[in-house]
Amino acid sequence: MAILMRAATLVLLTGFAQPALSSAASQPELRWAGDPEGGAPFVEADPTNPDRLTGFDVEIAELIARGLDRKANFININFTSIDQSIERGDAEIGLSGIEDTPARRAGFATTVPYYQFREVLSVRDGDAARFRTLADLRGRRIGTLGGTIAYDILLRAEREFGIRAVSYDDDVHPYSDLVVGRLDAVLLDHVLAERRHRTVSGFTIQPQSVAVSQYIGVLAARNSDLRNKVNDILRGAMRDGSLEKIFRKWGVWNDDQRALQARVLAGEPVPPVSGAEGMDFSKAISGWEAARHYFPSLIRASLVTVALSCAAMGLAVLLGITIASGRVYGNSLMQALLTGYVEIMRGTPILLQLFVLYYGIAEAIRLPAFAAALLGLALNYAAYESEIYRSALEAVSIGQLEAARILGLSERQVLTLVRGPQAFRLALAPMTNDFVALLKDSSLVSVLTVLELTKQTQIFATNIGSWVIPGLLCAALYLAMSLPLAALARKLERRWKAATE
Amino acid sequence: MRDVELRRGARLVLTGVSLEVRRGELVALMGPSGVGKTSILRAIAGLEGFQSGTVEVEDLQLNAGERPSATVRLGRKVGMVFQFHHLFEHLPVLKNVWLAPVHVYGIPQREAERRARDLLTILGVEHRAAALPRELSGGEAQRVAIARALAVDPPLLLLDEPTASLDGARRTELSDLLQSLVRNGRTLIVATHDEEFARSCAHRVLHVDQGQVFEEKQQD
Repeated sequence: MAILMRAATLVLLTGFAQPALSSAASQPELRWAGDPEGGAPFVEADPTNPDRLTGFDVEIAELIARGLDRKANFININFTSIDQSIERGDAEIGLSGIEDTPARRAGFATTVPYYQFREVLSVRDGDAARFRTLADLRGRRIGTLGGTIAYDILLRAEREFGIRAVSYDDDVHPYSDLVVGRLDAVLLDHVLAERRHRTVSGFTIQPQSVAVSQYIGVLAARNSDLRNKVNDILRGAMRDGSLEKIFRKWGVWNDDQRALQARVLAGEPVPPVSGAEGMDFSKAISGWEAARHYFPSLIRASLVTVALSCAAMGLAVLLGITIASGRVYGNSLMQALLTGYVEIMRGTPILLQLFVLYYGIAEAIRLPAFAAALLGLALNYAAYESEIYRSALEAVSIGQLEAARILGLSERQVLTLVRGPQAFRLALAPMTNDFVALLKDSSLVSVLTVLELTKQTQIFATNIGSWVIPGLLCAALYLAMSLPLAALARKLERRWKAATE
Repeated sequence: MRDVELRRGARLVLTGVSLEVRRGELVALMGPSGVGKTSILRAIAGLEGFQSGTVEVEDLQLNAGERPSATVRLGRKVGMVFQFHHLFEHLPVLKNVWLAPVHVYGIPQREAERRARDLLTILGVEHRAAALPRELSGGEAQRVAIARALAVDPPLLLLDEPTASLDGARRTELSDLLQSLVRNGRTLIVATHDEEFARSCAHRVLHVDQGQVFEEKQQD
């Protein structure tokens, strides 16, 4: 141990002693992965200079790079994909408030824990007295960041306490949804909760912690040599107080850290997760076991996908027919308005439309997530459907319409007896195509916390640290939905063809 | 039809056409293609607006600038057989014929179907009753189009190049059919470039040239 410590000091000294520039330039850069969307105090684009990163993870990465006599090079990776990127080799080490979980310890070379955090409940000020623990929140909606320990705790709490877990892609919207009443509580790291508490008012952070875990650096299992060097550097930084200095600078130093550092330096084992109201997080589960565990939730998520797609398509078809009729038969003002609608819906990303519908207008109309998702998809697809119907209506020859009019048919009869039926046959194939596309586009609504198939798969993949089994299962489920659809459409096409022959 | 002027964009198609057709008369409009025969028929049918003049069919009057709402009013007075037939592509022949009687005139479907079948028999295409328009020959489609126009029993029937897709024998048959329609009290205006056909059936042959109509000798 003494030798090791001396070695660590030596590494550190060398790192600091040499004015990095000359030697660091000759060494390969240390590629480290983080997600600036996670924001301060972890990794954040400097508000005054967006090209520069700040945050305690940034400073720790620089500290490690200096210790290795290398230059830190930041790789921007989505938070939920950091594990996979490390496995792929996009970056050597992930540092972005990454949590210490049994799965990571089993599948990766993880560093010693460098910061201890508490999972805390946040509730609206008015509920502070009655919602103190998960058990108090039976039947209530609790939000958190997907793919985190907090989410895993909420999933277990769904079974044990009957709460409803709601997964978010970021840590900003859970708190705004809590304040407006879409959620009754948020479970997240105290670091995140306290940061949000400084800018959002109306909620209280409960003092009692639900669980305790740590942030770690994550490296590929094959990189255990590098991990050992990183551990030496981290221990050195704990010993000489440089780590404390970094955390104090970012306002997150507390007594828990002193205790954690003492345990790490003494070589005592630190469990990945502790507390969690009696829940057992001690062991990592195998991929197949996890698949069995997750399969029912994937099926449930598939049902959400099917229900959402069918309802959205039905609404899109009705709206599309209305828009197309207005564009073909309406006066010039109506035509201009509807053309504007179609161009705006087709010309802007559906993701943006979903955000505006759910968060943008939340102050005025607070749509439930599923309703916002349904409406967003329907409004967007209505624009595409209307174009199909419009071109199909216009494809029916003018001569037939004139023949119908001269036989005495009213405009309405011309549409319902002559023009509509022919246009519908022309529109059927492109409509089927759109329905299959909608089925897959419905995955976008996960940004509104709707837990559909793709999102559930992503959570599954994040939790077991691999995309292979979840990816295959997810693909199989999508195909099980889209193939019968395509077959049904072919059958309908054949039937209409046969009926007229 | 009085002093009808019809412009399409900058082009003057009809330059003050006046034309009177008596009840029970069969009039042929003669002339090579592109002289305005079809435009005259379309103006009378209310399918095309005109810039000045009036069209009167029995007690209905159609003024310059009125269209296309006029079509429905005229619908019960005027029938038209188009050069390119314009049958309803998605419906079998029989339904092409009974669609308007049922939906416009409220005739029970069974009755309308029976009459449609009779009309197809008269025109010699009853064996094609179940076919779709795209499966018909040009001559068959022509005759189905005539049956469809006759099914609503209009007092005035307009035919645009009815002989275009017919051979010699069929042309004679058509001539006989048109004459029998006139004998039953209908009024017919036929636009054609087929002089022999025109002379074989028409009471009067009018020449159309450069958007104007010229009277020819009287025929019996």
